[in-house]
Amino acid sequence: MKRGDTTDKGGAIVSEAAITSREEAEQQAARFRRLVADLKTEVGRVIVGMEPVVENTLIALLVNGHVLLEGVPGLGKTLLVRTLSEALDLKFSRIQFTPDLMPADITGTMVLWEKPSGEREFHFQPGPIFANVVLADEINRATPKTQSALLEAMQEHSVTVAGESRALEEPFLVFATQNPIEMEGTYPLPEAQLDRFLFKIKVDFPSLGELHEIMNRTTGHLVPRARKVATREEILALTQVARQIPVSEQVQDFALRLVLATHPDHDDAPAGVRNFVRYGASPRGGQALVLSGKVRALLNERFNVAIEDLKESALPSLRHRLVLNFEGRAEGIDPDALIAEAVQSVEDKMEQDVPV
Amino acid sequence: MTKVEAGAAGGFHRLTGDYIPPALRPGASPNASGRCKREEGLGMPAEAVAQGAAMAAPQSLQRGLRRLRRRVRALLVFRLSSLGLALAGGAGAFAVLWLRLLGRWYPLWLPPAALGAVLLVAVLAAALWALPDRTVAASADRRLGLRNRLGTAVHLARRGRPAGMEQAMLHDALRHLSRVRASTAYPLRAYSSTRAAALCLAALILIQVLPIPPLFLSPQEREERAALRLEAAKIVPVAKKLEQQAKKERNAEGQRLARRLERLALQLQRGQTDRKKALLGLKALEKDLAALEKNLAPPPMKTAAQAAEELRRAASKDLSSKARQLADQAEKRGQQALQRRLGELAKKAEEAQSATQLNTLESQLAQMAKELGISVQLPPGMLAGMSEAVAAEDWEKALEALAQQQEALSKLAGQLSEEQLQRLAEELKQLAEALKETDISELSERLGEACQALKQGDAEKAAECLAGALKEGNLKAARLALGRCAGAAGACCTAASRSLTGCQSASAGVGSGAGGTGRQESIPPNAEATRLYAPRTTETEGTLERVPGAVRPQGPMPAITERGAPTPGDRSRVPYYEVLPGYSRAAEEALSREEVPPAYRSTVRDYFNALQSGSGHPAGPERP
Repeated sequence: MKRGDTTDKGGAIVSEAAITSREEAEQQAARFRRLVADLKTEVGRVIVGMEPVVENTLIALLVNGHVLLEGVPGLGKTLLVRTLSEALDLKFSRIQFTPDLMPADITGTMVLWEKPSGEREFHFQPGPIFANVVLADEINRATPKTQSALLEAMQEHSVTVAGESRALEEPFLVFATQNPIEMEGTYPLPEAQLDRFLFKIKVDFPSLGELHEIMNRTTGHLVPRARKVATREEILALTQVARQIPVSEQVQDFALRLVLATHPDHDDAPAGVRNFVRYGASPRGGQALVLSGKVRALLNERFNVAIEDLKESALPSLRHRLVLNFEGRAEGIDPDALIAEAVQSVEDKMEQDVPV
Repeated sequence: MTKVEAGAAGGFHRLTGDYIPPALRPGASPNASGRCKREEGLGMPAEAVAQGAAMAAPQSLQRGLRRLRRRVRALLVFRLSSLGLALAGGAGAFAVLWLRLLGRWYPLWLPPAALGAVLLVAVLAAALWALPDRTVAASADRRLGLRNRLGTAVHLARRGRPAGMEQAMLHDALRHLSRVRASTAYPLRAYSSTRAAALCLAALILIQVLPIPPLFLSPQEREERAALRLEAAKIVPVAKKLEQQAKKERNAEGQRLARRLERLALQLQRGQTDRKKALLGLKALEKDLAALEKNLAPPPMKTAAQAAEELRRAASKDLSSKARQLADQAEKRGQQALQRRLGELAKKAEEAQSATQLNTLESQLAQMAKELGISVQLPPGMLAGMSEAVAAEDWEKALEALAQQQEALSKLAGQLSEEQLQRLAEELKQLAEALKETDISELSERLGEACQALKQGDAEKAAECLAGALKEGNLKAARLALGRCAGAAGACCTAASRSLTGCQSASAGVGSGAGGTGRQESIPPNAEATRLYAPRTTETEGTLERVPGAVRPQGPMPAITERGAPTPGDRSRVPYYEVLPGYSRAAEEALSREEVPPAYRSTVRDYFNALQSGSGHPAGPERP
């Protein structure tokens, strides 16, 4: 509960940022769209193409969710995250994950500190995790022990060092990258870690036209830079705005049915899921769908989440939450195809129309 | 406290709670209708307006959804009706086809009544079809691409006081709902069931109307159809003649009956009706035609033959008298030969037995009169000609003969001698006498008047009377002709009925229940006996009874299992009037062969007469 927040009769926390009138809601929505448009413009100065990646990254930012970017080296993943933090005036830090990276290298450690008086004491030296935007580059190269150092930070937005819990400054966003082709000497992220990412975004190779543009921008004497268009406070406020978008029972039902349809033992699971999936998405998958759907609704000038929003978010929200079984891995099944099948199956079952 | 500024963003009507789209907001356009009132400056606090709007939103939403629901219900009625009609029409078409192929009877009102019942059920089903707001909203969202706006609005409307973002959502949903046209969301279209219903109904109608192709008929049925066609060929010319006569006479009833007769004949020709229905139709027509004939040409007290005979005798007497008078004149002039010939002619005239003979003699007499130098101004042989025409009941020809006289009389009004006038008066008197109580008895009065005028020497008046008589006669003759036509048509119907009754039905095994006859088990296969005692095998709903045979010197008759007379409440499957002719004929044949004891003959005859006249005591079903 933050300062200024109140509780209603039922004990639920009512945020100070709660919108009370329609006019205010419309103003906030307009502001939201304007800011996102500005952000896109600024990011677009530096990043060529990758519109879906940029949009999904911004959506994750606006719901305060972590993102796992997967793509071959040199596609601009790191640049994207850096540009975003520049445009947002947020504190940015980058951690290059290597096999010898230790958890303390991320979280920080207690160092012996000598006061001017000559007295010595342990003083906490914060690690790179203490930033608003953390770029965990090539996260799968670190050992599981080091990877797990992120677990608490990603979920609780706090770090415990030497028995003392230290809160991270909001917004706290982890943008992790991983290379899907160089698997030698890597440590695949555990399911628990993957589940903490809101989105897993695949970064595709740019097209010829985009490559031309990249060449033009990066080989000249002018280096494009993003301007700051939003402050940390504005981002936090907009996050609250997005969360107030209402979701109908039907839409929520779709999200939850979709999550359940990724479970092989569920009645609504399609054949592909039954055959190739060992574990389906967790409830966090549902949260990811609904939250990202809310932001998409606002971006699409709506005040309600539509099933189409959920469908658009389904792949980045769920693809990293499916654990394939041996057959699935052996057959090289793409989780995206299974999710698409699940979406279709749920849509067919929920088709609600009058018979005229 | 901020004042309300509705602006052009749209909102809710303060009094009615209706959603007013931005285009209709005050100030949004100069032609904004009076539906919305300007809210600026009303002094209401923004919170209050927002609260009012939030409270009104569900009502507007309900109203909009009700509009959509009405359309959905109307389309549901259409679709369910289509579906029901397709199913019922298809099933009905098969059932009717099956019944027709088997030659089974079914009430003609049954298919339309069944379709009507199906329609009623469809309407009821559509009215009771559950269409909750959620379903209608989801459906409209999907159809109009509203991206779950209405569904979310319905969800929020159920949740009481909405928050700011929810208010904005409701506002957005209502803005979209106000633009929605129910007919766009739910257009009227031809479903596959509609097409199927149209096809099935067309098939049902065709199956009912079109004849069964010969391919599907048994040889017996084909024979029956050929017999029907034969009868139709006989009926058609009679019907046409009746129609022509009725048109000429401008008799509506006659025309109607002629058309009915023609239609029946057409149905018989096309095989659109079976023997049973044909018999019913013929019977009904027979009755109506008889009534028409009775109305137009009631049976005369004096037959045409009697009148013709009287006329012939009068003509004979008249001719003989004329010949004798001419013979006297020939004697006076010393023409012995002519006198002798005239005497012979007079004798022949007295002995003449036919009008033709009299006509010949009349011509010879006219020739001899010329030889004597006496001119015959009036056309000769009126009575003889009349006699011939009346004998043939050719009233038109009779009137033609009279017309000749009237024409001559008009021309020679002042030139005829007293003697000629008297002779003509005598002829007319005899004609009037002869025609009394005949079909054209109306003429006799006028002829009497003409006769009186002639006796007084007033030939002109006599000619007028004759003209009047002719006019009346023509009218009467036309009516008589129509009556005769109707009679002929009735006779044709009777003949056709008899012929068709004699024709063995394809649907043998169905018969009267009134008589109580039944299936015969032990009767030897004697065709004569079967024809006599059971013209048609019967099936009633009565109980089976075993009737022991009478003991005779040769031994007991075999037992017969009868289906007894129907008990009260039972109904025979076939009306008695259809099987009656067969039984009647069998009874007549039995009577003629003296198979019925003399003491019972009159009883049997009376029984069948009573049945035929429709006043029989056996309480069978009345003929429709």
